[in-house]
Amino acid sequence: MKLPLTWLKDFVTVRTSPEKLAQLLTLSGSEVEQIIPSTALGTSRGPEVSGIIVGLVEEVKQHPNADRLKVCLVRVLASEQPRTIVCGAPNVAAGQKVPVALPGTVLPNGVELRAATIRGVESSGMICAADELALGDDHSGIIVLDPKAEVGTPAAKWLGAADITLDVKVTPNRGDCLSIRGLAREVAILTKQKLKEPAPARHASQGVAGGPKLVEGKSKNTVQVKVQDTKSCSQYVARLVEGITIKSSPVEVQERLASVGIRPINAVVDATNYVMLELGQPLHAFDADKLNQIVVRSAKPNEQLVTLDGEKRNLLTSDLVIADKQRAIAIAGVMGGQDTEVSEHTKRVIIESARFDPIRVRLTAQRLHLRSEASNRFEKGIDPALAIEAADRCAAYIAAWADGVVAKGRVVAGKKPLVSKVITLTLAEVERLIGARVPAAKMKAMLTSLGCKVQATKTALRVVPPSWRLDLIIPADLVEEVGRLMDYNTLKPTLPHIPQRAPEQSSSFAFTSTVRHRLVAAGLTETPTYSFYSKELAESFDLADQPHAELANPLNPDQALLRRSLMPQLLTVAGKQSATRDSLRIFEVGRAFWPANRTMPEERTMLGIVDVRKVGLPASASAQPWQAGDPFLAVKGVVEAMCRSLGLHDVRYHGSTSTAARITVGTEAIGIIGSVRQKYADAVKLRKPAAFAEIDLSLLMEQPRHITKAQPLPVYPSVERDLAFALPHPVAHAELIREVRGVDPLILKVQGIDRFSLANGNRARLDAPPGSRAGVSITLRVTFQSPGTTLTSDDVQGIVERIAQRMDEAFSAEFRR
Amino acid sequence: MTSEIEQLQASTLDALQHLQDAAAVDALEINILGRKGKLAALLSRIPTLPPAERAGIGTLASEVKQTLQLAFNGARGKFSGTNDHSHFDPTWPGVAPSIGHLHPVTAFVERSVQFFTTLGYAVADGPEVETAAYNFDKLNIPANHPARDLWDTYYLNPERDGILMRTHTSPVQLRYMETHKPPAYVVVPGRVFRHEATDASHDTNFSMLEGLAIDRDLHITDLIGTLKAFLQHTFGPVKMRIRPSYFPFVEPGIEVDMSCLICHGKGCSVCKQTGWLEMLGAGMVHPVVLKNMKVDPKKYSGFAFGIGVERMVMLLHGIPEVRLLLSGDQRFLEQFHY
Repeated sequence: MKLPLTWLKDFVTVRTSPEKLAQLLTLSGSEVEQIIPSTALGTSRGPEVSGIIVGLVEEVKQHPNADRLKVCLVRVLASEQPRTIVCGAPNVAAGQKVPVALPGTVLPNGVELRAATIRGVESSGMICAADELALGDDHSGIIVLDPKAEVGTPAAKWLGAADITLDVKVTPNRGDCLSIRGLAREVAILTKQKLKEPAPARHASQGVAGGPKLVEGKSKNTVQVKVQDTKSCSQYVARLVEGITIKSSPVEVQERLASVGIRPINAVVDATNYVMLELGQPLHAFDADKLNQIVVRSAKPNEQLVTLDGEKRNLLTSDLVIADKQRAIAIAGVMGGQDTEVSEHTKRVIIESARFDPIRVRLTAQRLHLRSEASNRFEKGIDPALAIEAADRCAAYIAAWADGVVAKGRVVAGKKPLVSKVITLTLAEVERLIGARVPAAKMKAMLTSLGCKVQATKTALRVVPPSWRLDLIIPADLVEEVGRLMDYNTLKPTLPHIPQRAPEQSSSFAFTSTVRHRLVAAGLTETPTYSFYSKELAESFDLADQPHAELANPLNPDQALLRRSLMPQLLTVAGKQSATRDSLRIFEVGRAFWPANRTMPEERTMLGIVDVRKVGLPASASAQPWQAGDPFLAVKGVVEAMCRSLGLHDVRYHGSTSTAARITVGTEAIGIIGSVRQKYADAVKLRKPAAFAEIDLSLLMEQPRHITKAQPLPVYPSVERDLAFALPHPVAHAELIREVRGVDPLILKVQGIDRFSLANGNRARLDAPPGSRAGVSITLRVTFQSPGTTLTSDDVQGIVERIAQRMDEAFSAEFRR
Repeated sequence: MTSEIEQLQASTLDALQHLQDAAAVDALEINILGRKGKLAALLSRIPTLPPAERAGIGTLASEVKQTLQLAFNGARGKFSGTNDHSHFDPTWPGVAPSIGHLHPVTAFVERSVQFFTTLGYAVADGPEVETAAYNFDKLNIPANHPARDLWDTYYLNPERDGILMRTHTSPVQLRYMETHKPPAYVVVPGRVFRHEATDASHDTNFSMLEGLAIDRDLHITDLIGTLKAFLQHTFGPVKMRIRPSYFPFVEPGIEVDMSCLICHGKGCSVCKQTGWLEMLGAGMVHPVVLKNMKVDPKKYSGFAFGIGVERMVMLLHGIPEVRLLLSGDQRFLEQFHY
């Protein structure tokens, strides 16, 4: 809500600075988001306006030789005759106080103003627009000063104060603050001023900004109003103004409307908007000659209406409309119809001042994408005492600005406004919620200042909120009023005494936190991605045929689906950066969404890991040369280390395809691990070898976790032997180990430490060309240990011979001595 | 001559045993193996020998030279571990261990959660896809109420079912209270979603850390004190300011400002010249919400707060653009050493 301070002053005396006022409003709940010098609308402040003085425009005539120019007589000094000044501004008008630069004045742009002859008329000075005074870039018209400005005095004072607008963020519960008077009430309370009844018109002939006196004519208001649905329209007030001439509203009215972002149209429409802004009651004006009566009803099936904006609207029976005998003429609270619009030929207008059901207005406005100043106010609730006042005020303005006569009487249909309910507020409740004792008298004074009627007893207050405070319903609402008026910052902060309890056992937060830290320690960088992805991405990872939860209202195609795997996006991230980096080791812990038969998709907390490295880059400093550049072994190493640190036993890897393996813990399949297939790498422009793992942490968390049992330190030394074998075909590492371990109980540990292809007699990398199935050389490191003695070289040699024999039998392996 | 060479080797090896530092080893090496050393001197006599002897001497000499060279290297090695600091340069970069990077949002959440668990709060978790009942209705945000406009919402297909991406983690608080009785103190970190155009300070996916406390006689001063402790724990000795505000699930509702970290309250572009930064929303739990949690609002009162994590992380680290956080750009993520 834009609050021009000059307008505010119609309703309350303001003696505080704009900055202080902004602070007071902000600290009481109506946050001032910006202090705008309104001519400059958000640009620099601190005007360079020395040498500019206040002038009074006494007369405005058309320039004899130029359509766009006007010749003004401007009085700048009481002792001097009015000066002739040629002015091109559209808004210049007699009676205005304006900033005038006289010949000899140096303008902020450095140019010295001189008297000049403009199209044959001598002009001795300039009436200034905002940009000419460096108050902004507005050149749409001259600045009009406060009428109180004294002629001949420096204009600077009035330029500053006159032009400031506060941009106030009104919270949804405070519909009453969506008006100048509503905010004036707040200002009055905060600055201990009295709310003014709107002052009498400043310019009697025009009735600007004051409370124009409602003068009724002789003819009667004969408008017929029928409210069929009193639940959706609790009150409908109609005023009739006749004999009007459609013209522009007074310049100051137009400026005020423009300053809060509403386009001036004509005196009638402007009056409805003006009163809405002043009081908060949305109004509509119909051309009375284009309708025969007013009915408030639900729209009929298949009913249509062309609205003011020229659009044909298909109505639903849930829409509330204003109609006459034949057809709908307006959508209640949302927008009027084109047929009954006020036009330049309009002579009689009906003013509608009504209260419509907030929800119906909201639903219709939402559906038709027609949310407006009016619908916004209806949604938030209108002061039930306001409809009559607003109708009368609007009628008076129209009569004044469009030379009309208000017909006698107002038509009021609908229920009587509800009376606010009594709220009982105990002192104990205030103390319980605020944490401080507030004296009853102080509270009574506060609530009374808000417009409440308050009866105080020793222990409680009986409070009747004012009609406009629809948000005050329960005691806590009043506690908030007390709190905000006493300023929470004056309260002494405390800390609650939290009772001791045993912490809960299974915390997924703690579990995922452990996982994250393990992975960071292993050298991976946490790289979270968005929870949504596009259909295209799902397709390129062959996920499109799997069920996905879909967003109904994605902002762009990248948000079409809820991810069911973290991999597409992690690999996308890797692909984007793989060209410029030697390696990329990333992980993400996040939700994946699997639609089930239920309405809500199943959610799993997944861990995704991606490892990309250029050929030859070692997995770690301790990696053997043959492990170099194998991202799969790097990922597997990370997963193994993580599982060990989580106390998981029996973690196995089952080759299911030529590039990927299932990971199981016990009997539970917890994820997959593998090399990234060329197809998928190509999809995300991943140009280096890459591997991945995706693990269901929700499942992992449920697996039994073993606590390490300490082993006795060996009494006798162990012996290591590296044994190389030539195998005619590759054999899985796990199989080799199983065979070798079975040879003798003194074998403590067996691990493969090297392997290479014997295909070309070279140490060709085995895992590179999967097709080459020629001979393989494998080196196993075997550790021997006896619990009872120190093993001799002969002991070990004996076992080695038996290993060689077993390898030969099982795999036709040749022991390479 | 053979015996002379063998004797030189024996005496040199013997002498090496008694040397005390690397410099003496260097000196002896030059004396024996140097260009004008003793071995060279002996070998210079080779041309004077009969041809038959020459071949054997050459082989022997090179073996001895190799042996002694190893011995000298070994002797030097013995000292360099303890005494040879000639290459000490503390400005040389250390050998970096392979450590990754925790995301700054995770680090912030973990630190904050630790703060609250230390105070005695539990940590809860819940679904990111929610029903309108939990995300709105039970939080006193009825359907078709203008307050719903405070949360731009992603809905799931089919739209009519009212299934949505949670806009805050408050639904988890409701779910937590289905299985817990007061007194209850719980924080809920998690990802939330807002259906709005993104800019430098707004993203569609972001994180919140919300808290809920329900107990007998909880006051708004308890809330203020808790949040003050949290902000000072996180940002150091900052000032805090409370403004009344409105959230349908609390009454009274407040917003909390913190003195600007950049200008310390003087006014700058980060705080829009106000000297204050909007940090979070909070309030006393609305009686309707307490009832929806099956808590008697006459017996118990409660407070709740919601922290927008990314905003705090951005302030803490001076991050100008929220979308960097989910960009996956390693040049950004590797700047943080958590």
